[in-house]
Parts: sequence; structure tokens; C-alpha cells
Amino acid sequence: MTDVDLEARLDARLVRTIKEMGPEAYRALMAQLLQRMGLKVTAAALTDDVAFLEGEREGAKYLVMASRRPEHASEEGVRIAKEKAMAEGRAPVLILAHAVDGRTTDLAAREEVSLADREKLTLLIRRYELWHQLTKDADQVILEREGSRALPSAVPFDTLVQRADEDLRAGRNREALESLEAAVALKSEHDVAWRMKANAHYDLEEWDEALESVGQALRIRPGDPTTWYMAGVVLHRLGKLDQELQAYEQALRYARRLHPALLNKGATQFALGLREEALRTFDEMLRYYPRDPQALGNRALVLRSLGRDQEALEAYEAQASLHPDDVAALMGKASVLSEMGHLLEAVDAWKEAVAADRKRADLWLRLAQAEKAAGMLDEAKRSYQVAESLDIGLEEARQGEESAEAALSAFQPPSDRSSPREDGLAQKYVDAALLLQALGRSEEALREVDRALEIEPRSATAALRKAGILMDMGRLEEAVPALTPALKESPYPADAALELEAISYRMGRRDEGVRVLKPHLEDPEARKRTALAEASAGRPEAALELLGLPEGRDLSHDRLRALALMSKGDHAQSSELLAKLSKAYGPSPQLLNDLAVSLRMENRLEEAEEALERAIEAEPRYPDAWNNLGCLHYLQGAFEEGERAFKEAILLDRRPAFMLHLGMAQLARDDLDAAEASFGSALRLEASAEALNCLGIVAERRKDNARALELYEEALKRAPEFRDAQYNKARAKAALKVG
Amino acid sequence: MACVACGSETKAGVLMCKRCLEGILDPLSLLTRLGDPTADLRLQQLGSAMMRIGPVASSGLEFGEGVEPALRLRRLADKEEHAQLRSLVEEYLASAGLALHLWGDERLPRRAFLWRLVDEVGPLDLRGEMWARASVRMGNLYSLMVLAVSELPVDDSWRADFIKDSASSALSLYSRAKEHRPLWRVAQSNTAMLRAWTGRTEDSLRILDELASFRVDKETMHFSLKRAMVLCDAGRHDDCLEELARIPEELMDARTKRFRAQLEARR
Repeated sequence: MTDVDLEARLDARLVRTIKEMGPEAYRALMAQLLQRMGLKVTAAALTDDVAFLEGEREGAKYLVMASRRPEHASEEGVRIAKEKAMAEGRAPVLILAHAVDGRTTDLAAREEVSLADREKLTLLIRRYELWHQLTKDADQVILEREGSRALPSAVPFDTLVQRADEDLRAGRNREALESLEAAVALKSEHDVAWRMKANAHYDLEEWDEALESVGQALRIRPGDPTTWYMAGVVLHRLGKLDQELQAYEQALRYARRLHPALLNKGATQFALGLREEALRTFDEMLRYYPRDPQALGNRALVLRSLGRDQEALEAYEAQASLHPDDVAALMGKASVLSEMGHLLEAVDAWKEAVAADRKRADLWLRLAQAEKAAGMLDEAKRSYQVAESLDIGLEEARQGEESAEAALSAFQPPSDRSSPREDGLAQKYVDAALLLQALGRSEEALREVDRALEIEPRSATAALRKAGILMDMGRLEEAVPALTPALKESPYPADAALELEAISYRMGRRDEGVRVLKPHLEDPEARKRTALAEASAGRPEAALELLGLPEGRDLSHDRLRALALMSKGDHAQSSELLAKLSKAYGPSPQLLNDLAVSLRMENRLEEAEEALERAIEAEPRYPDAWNNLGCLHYLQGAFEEGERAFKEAILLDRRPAFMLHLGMAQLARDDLDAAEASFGSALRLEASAEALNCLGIVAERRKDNARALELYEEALKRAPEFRDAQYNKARAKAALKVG
Repeated sequence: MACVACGSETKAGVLMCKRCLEGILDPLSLLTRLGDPTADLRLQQLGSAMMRIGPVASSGLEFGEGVEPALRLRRLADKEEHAQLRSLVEEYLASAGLALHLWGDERLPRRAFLWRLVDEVGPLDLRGEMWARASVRMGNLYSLMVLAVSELPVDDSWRADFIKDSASSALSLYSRAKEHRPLWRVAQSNTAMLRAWTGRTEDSLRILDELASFRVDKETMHFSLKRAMVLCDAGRHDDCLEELARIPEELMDARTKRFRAQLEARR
């Protein structure tokens, strides 16, 4: 093989990697490239496969449009880049991951758009030393995907597969199949080619052929979970549900946490009428992926089919709590409530669904139907009208509106309630407001409480109720003046102050909230909120002064006290308090976890470990406890155990801090590649100074001081006071000078 | 009169009909003193300290989300892990501010899960002092519901049924403290409060009298205060002040002092 061959293969790999990498990584790569080219990147934004980066060099301002879209490798792409840049008064630069034709190059030259096409891009990546990192990432992806360390051995085969891959991505399935036929003719025992072939047939809806190819892939590698999963998907299309189920079971035999296989297994069981089994599958899935919205949603669906409406409702609520705009979850919740006959709650739930997507006629229609069922005819009429305006042909909406109209005209308003001048009438209106609020009918509740205030403008009870309703409705600005009478007249003046503080806090005016509470510090809740504010502001002593209740009276008070003690550095006392609490409240995972952290601060590592093990025994799906256990192992030099614990934490919750910790454990074992991958994952999740600093450490260990310096500088841009990054930067700089 | 929600005809003085009342999903929303849920969340999120290792830009200690109680409850209930279930319920109720002693002026946080939890685990017949404590707290929630509903002008039959059901739930939950003597005395004093709220003042006073007799200490001080409160609600202000006078100044807590000040202000 010649050098030219090798270079061509390297370029092909680079381009493939660029096209396949995640959007954030792509944006980061482009930013990195521009920085190495001497451009100071001042802003970066990402839309689909296009990154827009603003940069400056020697007084000139640029707008770089870096696109992976094939359609941008054209004259049109040049025009877009030019327009965008001109709109911002910047010079246009267009970077493309695809080759361009002569006309495009000519246009770019005429329009003064600096152009880097596929060839130039790979050249730049190589020139600026980014290729090593890229290809390593690509190899890792290949290894993860194919589970094999064997790299492609023959150029023709490799080229065919690569071409097929590009065709598949571009939707040219027939062309991909041609390449793959040739590839399997060359290497009939290559399961990846067979799997790709199955993919192409699948996309062409050639189910039998897809099944045959997937069968070949399985013959070659019977233990590959992804292929078994694919077999299941194909069998589904063929309507062979029993076999489909078996395929997923095989997939899970080799990878018991394989997300799509678990999800489809449950769905297939459900389709086969095996509802209890489906429920068990989704329960199992939730053990591995406790925050997975699809698993939660499917579980809810199964529960509904089993008639376990209350549990279904809880599952939908859990799903919606993860993503408050998850329309499917909100729809599920609303439907269950409707079915359970909770008409008013259902109306609220449909309102939530509508709020999540106001442009869907079907949601407005369901809301209208729920409102009509709840007797809210005016509201129903309005909702039907909105549904019809969104989908003019929606016959159901038109009919619904007519029937609501008819019902409204037949409706006689109730006779007036007794004379407004009776004794205690204001209280009656306040009671009415409370009842309506309990039904979730805030607007009407507000009208009732306003009537109470007309009669008794200084009524503290009415004022508090009004503020409460307005707060429920999110009308915080209006709630503030509503509370004023209650501050002076209420039998519980602290209540009004607490509500005011809550509003101030929600509006981001925290100091104001603390000031409001000051005259009411005899109230335990006011003391706790003030103490929390003090502790959060880094004044633990002031917090502790407020937390003088004897232990055991109030759990949140005691927890707050333990936190303040920890922040003050009085770990012996905080450990003592937390030990008492965890004894009083039994095997509470959180108390045990907090106790362990406090013990660790006292350097009582063995006891801390014991507490964490108890916390995990009580709640094996507790990511914070796993993370803390990992930290303890790390501190004791048990890096492998630490790594295992961090991985458990990550399995439960992919938090950037956990990734960083995993990287630290790997770094301690001198596994630089693994550490770099973990820090990189952390960076992708959150572009933090810590992740950049850690990546700098890895670069330094690799003797790449220039890169390390760059990373430390980037970290310091994000957190200028970051001490470690400051030291590291100075060290890297010194090393560069010496070098 | 007409129901404020649906407009259907109701008896004189009745603001809401039975049908609409049955549409209220969370009875706790009928309590008059409910705290802001976001403020409650601030205090709830205190738990779950998280260590950091390696170089960090800010603090070496952070706070995580902890464990979602609703999910944990489901799992523990499915697996019948009673020791942990007891602990979860007791901790959750205590963190919601449901104390062992019942007073009637409790300010609870608005938490949707609170009623669902009590509704679901209340019937479980488990053993041990921790469960007895959790049961007393749950009983207090039912008693507070009795107090709230007894003051509301709503459909008589619905109110009567609600009070009857809630009061019997409370009493049944309090009875679980029988084998745990100090706690049982607290539960009895709570029963006395409940009886007073359902109009049985004399029964209530008798119970509290028995509990408070012979000794004056930090424990019996609570019973004396409850007795004073019941007397006050019954309009017996002089007896109330006399009862309060039996509590030595050094044993008086903030609540007692506040109550005394309110009484004196009224005179």
C-alpha cells in the first residue's frame, strides 16, 4: 500500500468522523480549528448540522458557516454564507464537509466568500494537528459499534463499505446495496457488511431480504446484541411477533441493558397481550433508566390497560415531571383523569397539554371536550373555536362548538345568593374561593375573593386567599399588593410575610425576601428560610444562630443545621447530628449519604464507607451515594473500585460531575485514553472550566504542553478564579519556555 | 342558594354541592394554611450531599437531587421492604412539617404527593415504633382535614361522611401507638384535640386532664397547652388562663407564649 493510499484513507476516515460526530462535538471541533488558525472565536451557535461561529483576527471580523449538509456544498450554500455574514457586517467564511463543483468555487471567489471544501478541510485538520484526536474518537466509535478490534484489512472492501455507508446516510439505499453486494462477495464472513445490507433492505421495505441478511450477520456473530435487536425490528415488520419477542430476548441475553431492545420487548409483549410481562419489562427498564420518558410512558400505558389507573396517572406524572413539555405524557395524564371521571382535574391536565403545544388542533379539541364534560360550556365553546381555527376541516370541532352553544343557551344561571349585606358574608366569599381553588378554577375563585374584599377591604383572610390564588396562577406581581392588608391584620402575620418572601424569591429578589422575614423570626418557617439564605450566601455562623431548636423537633430544621455545621467546618458536630437523625429515621438513604459526607470531612473514611454502603443497600438506585462511594475509594487509593462506583452513578444519571470523577480515577490509573474520553463526555454535557482543566492535564501528561496551555486558558476564560487552572497554566507555560 | 361551581340548587348556606365536592382530587387543598410549594422545595432539596474530587472551580461540596420519594415508594411497596418503607414514610411526613403533636394551626406545604402517600400507605399494618410515629403523623393529617372541613359551608351529607371517615381513619392510625408509651400519650392528646373539633369538648378535656395530672414537665406542658386551647375554643377563657398559669414560665415554649399573649390581648 502506498502513502497516497494511506493518506486517502485517512482523509476518508476524517470526513466520515466529522459527518458522524455529535452536533456539540462538531461545533467544538470547528471552534478548535478556527482557534488554531489564529482566529479568536467570540460566539458559536448550532442549528442542525450547521455551526455558525463569530471570530476576529487582527481587527477583521468573520462569520464562519461550517456545514455538514450536502446541500450547502453548492452555489446556494455560498449565497447563504454571504447573506448571513453581510447581515452582521462580517466577512463570510464557508467550511464544508462535502466536495464542491467548479461553479461553486467560482461563485465563492466572485462573492469574496472564503471557501474550504472537504479536501481543504481535511488538509486544515491535518495541518493543525487535530487529526489524531479525531481518528482516535472515530476508532473508539467503531470499536464500540462493532465490538471488535479488527481493523479493515483490504482497501476495496473498505472502500465499498465506506461508499455504502455514505449512500445509506444519503438515503441512496439501492446504490448502497450494490456496494454491499460487492463487499459481501469479497468478504462473506463480515457481519457488519451483512448488517448494513439488512439496513438497506429495511429502508427499502424489503423485509424478507432484510431478514435474510440479518440472519447471515447472526450466523457469523451469534452473540451480537445489536444484530439480534435488528432481527426483532425486521420480524416486527413481517408480523412475526412471537419471533420478534425471542429476538429481543436474545439481544438482552447479551446486553441486558440494551435500551431499544428493552423498549421493544415491552411493546411486543403488550401487543401479544402479555400485559403483566410487559409491565415487568418496563419496570426492569426503569431500574436501569429511571428517568427514561419512553419507559415511563409505556409503563403507564400498560397500567392503564390493566385498569390500574391511579398508578398509570402517577407514571404519567413522573414522565411529565422529567420534561414538563412532554405532550405525550400530558395527554396520557389528561386521558386517565378523564377516564377516572375527575372532570375538573382533566380540564387542568388538558390545559397543560395545550400549553405545551398550542398549535395542535387535536389538543384543543380534547380540552374542549373535557371542558364540556365538566359543564364549563363557555370555555368549551372557546376551545372548540380555537381547534377549528387551527384545523378548518375539523368537523368534530365544528359540531362540538354547536352543541356547546346549544347547551349554553339552555343554561339558566343560578339565582343570586343571599343579600350581600348579611353578617359574615365576606367570609362566605372567601370560603367559596377556597372551594373553587380546590377544584382548580382559579379565575372564578379570584372573582369570589374580590367580592369578599369589596365588603371587607381589610380582611386579612381574604387578602391571603387572593394572594394564594394569584400565586397559583403565576401572577406574582399582582400577588404582592394583594398581601399588604394581611401583613398587618392577620392572626398569623408571619403567613403573609412568608408568602411575600416566596414571591420575592421566585422573582429573583432574594435579599428583599429575607428583609420581609426579619420581623417574623419567631416563626420557625421564617427562621428556616432565613437560615437557608444565610447558609447559601456563605454565612454558616449566621445560619446557625437562627437554628436553635432542640434536635428532633423538626427534620428540615435539623438537616439545615447539619448543612450549616458542615459549611462552617464543624464536621464533628454535623456527623453527630446526622448520626442521630439517621438512627431516628431508620435506613434513610439520604441521611446516611449526608452522614457519610460529613464523616469523610472528618477523615473517618471507613465509617463513611460503611454509611454509604448502607445507603446503597437501602437504595441501590441512588446516584449521589454511588458517586460518594467512588470518591471515597479514590481518596483511599482504590482507583479501580472508584471507577466501578462512578460507572454505577453514571448508569443512573449521566451527570458531568460523575464523568469528571470517573476521568480522575482513570487518570490516577494512568489510563489517559479512558480519562480523556470521560473528560470529553463531561465537556459535551457541560462546557465547564473543570472539564477543560482536566483535559489540559491529560494533554500535559502526553507532553503536549501547547495544547494543555490552550485548554487551561479556555478553562480560565470560563472561571477566571479557578486556582488549579491558574497553577496548571503557569506550569504549562514554563514547560513550553524550557522546551 | 346555588353551588358556586355548577350552579345547581343547594340548601341555605351551602356553597358547594356533593357532586362538585367529590371532584376535589386532593383534599389537602381544603386546608386554609398551606405554604408555597417552591419554598418547601428549597428546604426539601437540602439533602443528598455530593462529594467532589479533582480540581474544582467552586465548592468542594455540592448537593444532588436525592431520591424521588414517589418512585422509591412504588419500588419498596412492590418489594414489600417494610423496614425501608417505614423509614421513607416517617422521613417524608416529618420533612413535610407534620409533627407528632397536633395543634390545629399547622402550616403544611402544598405537596401533591403527600395525600397520595398517606392514602396508599395508611392502611398498611406494619410493626415497630417508627411505623407508630409515622401513623400518628398520618392521623394528624386526617384530623386536620376534619378541622378544615368542619368549618366549611358545604353539602351536609358530604361533610358528615367526610368527617366520619377522616376521624375514624385518624383514630385507627393513632391506635397504632398503643404499644409505645410516650408516643401513645401524644397520640391520646391528639385524639383529645380531634374530639374537641368534632364537638365533644368534655371528652377531650377528660383525656387531657388524665394526661396532664400528677406532673408538670416538658411533656405534660404540651397537654396543658392543648387543654387551654380546647377551653378557649369552648369560650371558657378564665379556665383557659388558669390552665395556662399552671405551666411554669421556664417550661413555656414559643407556641405557649404566643397563645398566652393572644389571650391577654383579647381581654
